[in-house]
Amino acid sequence: MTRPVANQIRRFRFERDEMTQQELADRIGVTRQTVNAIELGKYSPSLEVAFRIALVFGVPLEEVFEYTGERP
Amino acid sequence: MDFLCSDPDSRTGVLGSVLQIPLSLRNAPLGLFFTAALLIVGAIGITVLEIAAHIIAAIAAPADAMTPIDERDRYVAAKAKGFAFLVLSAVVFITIAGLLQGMTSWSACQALVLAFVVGELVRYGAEIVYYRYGCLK
Repeated sequence: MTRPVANQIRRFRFERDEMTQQELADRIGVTRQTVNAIELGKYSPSLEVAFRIALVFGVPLEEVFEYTGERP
Repeated sequence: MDFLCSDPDSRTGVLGSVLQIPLSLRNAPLGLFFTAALLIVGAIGITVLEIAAHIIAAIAAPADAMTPIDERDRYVAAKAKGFAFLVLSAVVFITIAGLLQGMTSWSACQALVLAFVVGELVRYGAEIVYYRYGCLK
């Protein structure tokens, strides 16, 4: 299964005093399992959740998520 | 379709345990009434089994049971239901074809109830696969 969207969530969590997946999940309104799936590239979040993640880390969306698939 | 218990007097078919109650109605004068009772009891039986399975799962993992569902859960459920619908539809159409080819109404009833069971199994199986290996859009 291809993974066209890469992310830097693990790195940003590490840089925020090792924020746990549960803490991030609580702040963006999803389960810890979903945060784990997003980190591992097993699930592509909705735009709303993606923006919430970027807001929690205080960075632009494109710094958290990167499209690595084919160019349209 | 002989494996589906084509003998109406037999109580040892594949789904015999679910169909015990309507079996007692097999001598009812209206075949349609009997068929409807068969399907209704089958559906109720599956529902009871699902409720029991949910209770057991909640007892085994209370923290997960208390966790509200989110967008990923809804997405996985929707994709799994799509697979289950395909299987259910396929069995229904195969049953219709079987009826046109001379399948007995008893076997057709068994096949339709079996379709519900198989559809649910496919749904749960697909959910496990999506949760385990991911569900990219």
